[in-house]
Amino acid sequence: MMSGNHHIRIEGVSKAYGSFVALKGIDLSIAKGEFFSLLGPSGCGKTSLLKILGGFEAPSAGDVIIAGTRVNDVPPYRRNTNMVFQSYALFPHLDVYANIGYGLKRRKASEAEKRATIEGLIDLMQLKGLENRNVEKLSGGQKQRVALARALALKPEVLLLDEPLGALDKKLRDEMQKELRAIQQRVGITFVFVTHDQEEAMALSDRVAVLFDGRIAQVDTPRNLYNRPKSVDVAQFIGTINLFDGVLRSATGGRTTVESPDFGTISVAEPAPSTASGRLRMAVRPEQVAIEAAGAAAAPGRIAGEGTVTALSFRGDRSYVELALKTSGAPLSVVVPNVSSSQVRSLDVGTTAGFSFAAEDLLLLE
Amino acid sequence: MTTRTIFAASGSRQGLLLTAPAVLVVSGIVAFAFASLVCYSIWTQTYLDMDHTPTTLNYQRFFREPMFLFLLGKSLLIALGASVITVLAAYPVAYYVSFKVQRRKLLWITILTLPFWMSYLLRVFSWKLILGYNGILNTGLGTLGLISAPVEALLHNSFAVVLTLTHSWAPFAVVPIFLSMERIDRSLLQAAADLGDTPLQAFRRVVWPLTLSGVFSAGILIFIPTVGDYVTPQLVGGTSGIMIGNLIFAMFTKLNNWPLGSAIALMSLLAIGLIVFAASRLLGVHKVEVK
Ligand SMILES: Nc1ncnc2c1ncn2[C@@H]1O[C@H](COP(=O)(O)OP(=O)(O)O)[C@@H](O)[C@H]1O
Ligand SMILES: [Mg+2]
Repeated sequence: MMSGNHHIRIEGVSKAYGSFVALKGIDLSIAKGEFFSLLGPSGCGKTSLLKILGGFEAPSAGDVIIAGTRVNDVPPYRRNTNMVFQSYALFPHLDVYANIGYGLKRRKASEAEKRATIEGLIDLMQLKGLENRNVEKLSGGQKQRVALARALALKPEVLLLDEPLGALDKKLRDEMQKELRAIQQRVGITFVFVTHDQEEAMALSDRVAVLFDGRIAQVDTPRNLYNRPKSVDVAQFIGTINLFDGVLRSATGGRTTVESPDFGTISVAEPAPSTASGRLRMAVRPEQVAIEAAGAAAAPGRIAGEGTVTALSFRGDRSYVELALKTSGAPLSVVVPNVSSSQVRSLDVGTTAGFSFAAEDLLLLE
Repeated sequence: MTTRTIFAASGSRQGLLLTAPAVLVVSGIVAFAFASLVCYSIWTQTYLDMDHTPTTLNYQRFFREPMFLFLLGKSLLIALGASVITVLAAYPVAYYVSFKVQRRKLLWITILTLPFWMSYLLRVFSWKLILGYNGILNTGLGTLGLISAPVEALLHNSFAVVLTLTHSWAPFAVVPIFLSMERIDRSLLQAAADLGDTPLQAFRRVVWPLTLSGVFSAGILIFIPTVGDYVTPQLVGGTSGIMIGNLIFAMFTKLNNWPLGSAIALMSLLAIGLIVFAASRLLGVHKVEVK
């Protein structure tokens, strides 16, 4: 990370609601203009952290620093952050225009300037013609755009978004994702985006923080989160992954030797994870595995094995093959793109199939 | 979605069917009473007999003799005062329970409405005990040496009427205001703060407009019955606290002039209707959708 460019710093932030601890020592720094996502299952504390950034909840411990100023005790109405709420929180007694202009009303700008700002946002959000519509009568996508426009109207330094696309159907959500990303790039504001949808986080973000149970499990780019997860939990939460048991034999100079009931003794160019017992887990993504002819020898640099097909499912552009390994019976999922599905076509449930994957794709996890 | 709307529709139709008999009976009675009032008001009482020739004489008398209009005006003012004061007193109470109390809100509301479980007459009498010549207030102030002789001015005036009415009706006002507050999505307040409103500004721009319908219902709920009240004025109002209800009551009893009583009653009804309509326009309640 570019140091000195930390727009938001969260230092040792904890949050307790009574005896229940929702956030446990969060440390994060977010760069200016970054699209940063907080990703985690429902109840892991994403909204709590966002509310602490917005000033709606005070941290029980730790500090929040925005643009170099500690803001722990600054109320929301004095913070240069704006929020798009999970349920939009549009004012039901005001129309679209008045909702967007709500925060501008108290500002010292001239009426003409304010009107120009609001009309610019109405254009940007494609809300033309709906200015005087009651917000209750809008569709989900329109409400979402009004909420976004209302928050952007004050030109905040930081925009906080709490699952803003959660209530939309898939098609609209995909569209809004593109728009959101485009808007963020145009306005250049730091976005802190909360979601429980890993695909959404990956599609939008520069970086993602994965939260489990009030703790940060990993902060990384979407690519690294997927390809280099630091724990089994993260690997499983971001997409699907195959896991095998292994025992650590030796680790020297960045190479690790592992013994596994399925693949024998293998050597991987990866540092060993910290493991007290010597046991570890090996992981490989389903799309990194290829189906081979049964009994074929492993090509150089690849690891091969055999399994019984337990399920097959055709999904148009790709097929899912589920195997049970001959050796340990462990399950293995394989995704095969249907451009090269000749091997898959000969498969049937109950038949034996070979498979292989590149040794370098194998991850070692604790 | 569609099934839900269908269910909702059939649910409301079922509700309509269930309430229909009661609604029919009640509206029948009201229509009959109203029709009788209209009929009586255009007849003439000739000592013990009723002259059934239609006439506007009763209405002419109502507008010609200043006492009637004066009493009506005064009653409207007292009722308006009692409604406004009651709503003003009830609003912070409702606000406190809705926004500050975290648990057992309903228990709070129940306790607040306790005075209402007591008979109306008892409540009025208790004020007589407090405000009377030998009442608690005079005795207390006398014992403390703050007054040398009991103050007569406490009871038997319009002030006593307004005070008693306010106390009687306050619990009635708390409930609709409280309910309108409970309907407010709390994230709206966070949104207002997020957009730069101080708590006071957020109250003015979000809470107040969204509770206006509750305030209005509360006001109407008190205003309408208090204009015609004749028990409270009679017990604590004395001669100077007399209201239009007392006059109508007298017309139908002692004075035995039902036609004139009916005309006065109808004119009061009309005045109430006009004021309620004007108030709803003034407060802009018609613009706020009630959900
Ligand atoms: N005001 C509150 N009082 C008590 N518990 C709360 C409160 N807000 C959130 N929680 C609890 O804290 C945990 C995290 O909540 P939240 O931050 O909303 O999670 P998320 O947004 O990730 O779903 C949940 O278990 C929730 O029940
Ligand atoms: Mg949440």
